Amino acid sequence: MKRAGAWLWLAAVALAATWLLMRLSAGISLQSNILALLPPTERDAVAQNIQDRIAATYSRRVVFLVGDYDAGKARGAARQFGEALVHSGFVSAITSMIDRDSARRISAAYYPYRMGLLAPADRDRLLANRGAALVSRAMSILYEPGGLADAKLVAHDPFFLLPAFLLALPLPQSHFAPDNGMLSAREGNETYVLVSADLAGDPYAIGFQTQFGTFVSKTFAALRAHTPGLDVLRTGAVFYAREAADEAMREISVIGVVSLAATLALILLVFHGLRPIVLGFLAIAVGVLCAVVGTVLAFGQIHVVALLFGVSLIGISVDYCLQYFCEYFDPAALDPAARLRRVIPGVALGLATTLIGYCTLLLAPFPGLRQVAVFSLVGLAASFLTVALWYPALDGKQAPRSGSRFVALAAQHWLLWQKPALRLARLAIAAACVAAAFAGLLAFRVDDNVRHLESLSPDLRRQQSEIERLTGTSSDTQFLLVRGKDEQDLLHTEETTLLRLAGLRNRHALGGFTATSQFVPSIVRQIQNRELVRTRLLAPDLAGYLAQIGYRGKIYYPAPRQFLEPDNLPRTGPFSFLSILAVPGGRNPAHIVLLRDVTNPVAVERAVENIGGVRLVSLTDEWSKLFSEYRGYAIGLLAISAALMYPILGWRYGWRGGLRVMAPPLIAVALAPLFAALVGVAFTFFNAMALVLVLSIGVDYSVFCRETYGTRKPVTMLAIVLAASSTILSFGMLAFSRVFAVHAFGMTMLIGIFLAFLFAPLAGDGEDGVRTDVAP
Amino acid sequence: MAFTPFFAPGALLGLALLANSPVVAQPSAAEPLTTGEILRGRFILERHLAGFDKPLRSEGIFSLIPRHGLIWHAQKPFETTTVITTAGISVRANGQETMRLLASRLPGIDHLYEVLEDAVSGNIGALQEDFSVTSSSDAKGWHLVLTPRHPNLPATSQIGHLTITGGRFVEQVDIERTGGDVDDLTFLDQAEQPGPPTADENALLGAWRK
Repeated sequence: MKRAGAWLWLAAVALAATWLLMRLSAGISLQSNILALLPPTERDAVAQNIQDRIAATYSRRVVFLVGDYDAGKARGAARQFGEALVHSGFVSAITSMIDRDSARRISAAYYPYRMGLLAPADRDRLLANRGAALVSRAMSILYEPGGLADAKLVAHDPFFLLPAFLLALPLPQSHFAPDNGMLSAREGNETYVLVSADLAGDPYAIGFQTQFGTFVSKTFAALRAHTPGLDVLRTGAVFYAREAADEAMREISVIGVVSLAATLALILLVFHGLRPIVLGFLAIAVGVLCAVVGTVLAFGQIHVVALLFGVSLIGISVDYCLQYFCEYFDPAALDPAARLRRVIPGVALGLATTLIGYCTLLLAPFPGLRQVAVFSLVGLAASFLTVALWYPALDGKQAPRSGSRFVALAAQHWLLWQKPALRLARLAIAAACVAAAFAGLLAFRVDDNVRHLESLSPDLRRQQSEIERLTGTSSDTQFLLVRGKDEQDLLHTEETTLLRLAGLRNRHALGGFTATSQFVPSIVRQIQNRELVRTRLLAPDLAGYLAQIGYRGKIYYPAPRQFLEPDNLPRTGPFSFLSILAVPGGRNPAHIVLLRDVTNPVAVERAVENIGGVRLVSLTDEWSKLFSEYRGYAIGLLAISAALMYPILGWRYGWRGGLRVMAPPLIAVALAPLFAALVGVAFTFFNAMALVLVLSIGVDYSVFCRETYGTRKPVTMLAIVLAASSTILSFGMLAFSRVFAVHAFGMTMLIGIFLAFLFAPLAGDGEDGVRTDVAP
Repeated sequence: MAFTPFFAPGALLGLALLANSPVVAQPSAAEPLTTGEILRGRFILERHLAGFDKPLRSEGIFSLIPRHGLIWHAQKPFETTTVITTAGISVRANGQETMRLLASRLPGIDHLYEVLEDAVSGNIGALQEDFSVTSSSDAKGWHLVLTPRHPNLPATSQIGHLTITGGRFVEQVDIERTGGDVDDLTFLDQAEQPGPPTADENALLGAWRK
């Protein structure tokens, strides 16, 4: 029967390994977008869709500035780079190319409707009945040297209102001007040429990141060989993502190797033999193999964070092996089957409670955390099955050399909590904990700012802020969402909104805004404008003006039956960004109004709150809000998993006994965040998730302490010491991570696991008479 | 449709030549303005535009303050002041700004001012990047004909060619545009004067300094 189980398990593992090999050869996609850990929680589906679209648009954009002291060289290098980008297939469009025709196409698109198009300042002048100002401007343009105006322009636009409208358009990249077909700007003696593009692939897919990154470095290296002084700045989500993924990979290798090595060294030291290492490694390897297979089966991909935590799984699955191996030191356990029989109740119970902890992670609607949960659930269960089914067959009868020194040492931990003479020490520990908890309470703060989750690389940050400074753009993610019945309704609502925004801009509550209606006034507005031009400019002033300048030709300045509509405009060249502003949707068309340099979001919110269908959306704030919500949610999970564990423990140990087993991990959970606060770690969602693990792992230690008895106590404690050490070695390493979330997680684990271990003997049966002198 | 209502700033390049550079005029006998020297004088501009029954004629005074800007003050037929710097062009009439073209929005304006500066500082090479230059001289003075090298570039697309004549200073600039219109500029009473700029000039330039 047992033998059949072992064979069955072997078949299952072999199947999993084969499947994984096949998948690996097809390529497994590794995800690194930290925001993929977040759930799609926006209650408003349209807004969510828009946010996703905008986030996707932004994340696919890459911007390069190619600079040199020689403008020609800068242009040449930028052109070559742009061509290489196009040929590489990595980008779907180069957005910085100046199509020589685009200016002409744009003016051609506007031209038929020019009578209804007024620059905001010109419209204000006509509204204020100051048409004379427009007349004298037209005259000064005519008399100006330089040649903007000629007879043709006078005939078709006598007061040059269309050029004024075009100049007032809030086109992006305002610091860059077309020069020889490329957008460039001077900074000191250096000329920077802009190359921007939209990526064709997923910037968060690690395969794509790597290929694209290599392509960029190689191409610029080749260009530098030709133009040594070339200065290149770059920004884009893909570079940040690659940097973060590289960092995570570096940490995975360092943390993984160090924790594995330390754990192996520990085992070697205690057991003086290779057998526990080989068997332990087998349990871990089977666990990780099945975890990867389970995760890829369930999600189709693996998130880097899931993998990172998955590697730390080593620290936990080895706990079960340790319980088994420490039975070597109990002379009463004669063969593998006996050893297994002795530890199975504790290990099974520990596994049950740990799995409950991970199951609650599964309840959290975070796609990334669900991956962590599945990874851990499958991995731990597989490790357990390996221990339970294979160890009796693989392990020999003969126990390795005794580790009685270590058993005796471990026994001291029991004594700390049971020896009457050490009462004072216990009181001192309790007092120190209470004092530190109070101090921690004072230092305690929560932090939900999503910005902390992002960039690590100061160099990329520098390049980005340099690009923002040079181009005059900003990476603000605040915008207004405008919804309406139809396109015209939207444009009209926007115009009402922009009037208020203009007032706010004058009061410096925001730096500027970009909206579709600035490029395409509503039909209502166009009718008004035509009327203004007719009654306040043409009727009173046209004849006198033409006489004064001596123009006797015809005037062709018509008001056609049609009006300018958004579809009339080209979506290429400088106008390509217009497509971001419009959100197509059957019954619910929407526009976004991009806001720049918002200094007073409250004023903006208040200004638009009573305009129907308009609301302020700030992506970073929304994400931060989410983190705060889910921090609370994680605390809830903690309570739920504690509540789910209690009936199992109560069933086995009685209701009071169950409480006693729960007490040490609960104390650890309560104290860990306070102690972490003392060392400056703010409480985040990630700390809360770590506490869920502290609870489930801590309950294992308590259960092991409660299950053991009499002479087995020191042996069990040795296993717990080893387990806690290996967990701390793996998760403790995470505390050294430069990734904010991982650091917060690791620090909480480090402190929490230590405390859970420290207090674990309190869960024991309380019987004295611990033997410290276990015979070999 | 060939009609392009975008400002063609390159056409303003002609204006750069108003910089009236003795250097461009006489490359062999360069006599650049030294820093702090201001060139002042009067101008008459006649624009001969097709479809108009008489040339559009304006007169006024100008000041060129090297490294800062050009102030073009028309007095007839009405008062307007145009200030050209690397940051852009601003036009004022009746004490109010009627037009402001930011270099950032209007490609080539900063380039325009650079050309102007290059001319003043004797850097003819920069001009030759954009124009092919043929020069001749006679007893009365010298002539330069500048033809854009790259007629498709927005910066110079509207210029057919420029003819500059002068002696000690530039005296006459004729800008012939591709459409056939001609701007004739005549400079009179020119003199280099030691700085600093007057308070008025400073105030006009100061509007661009931030």
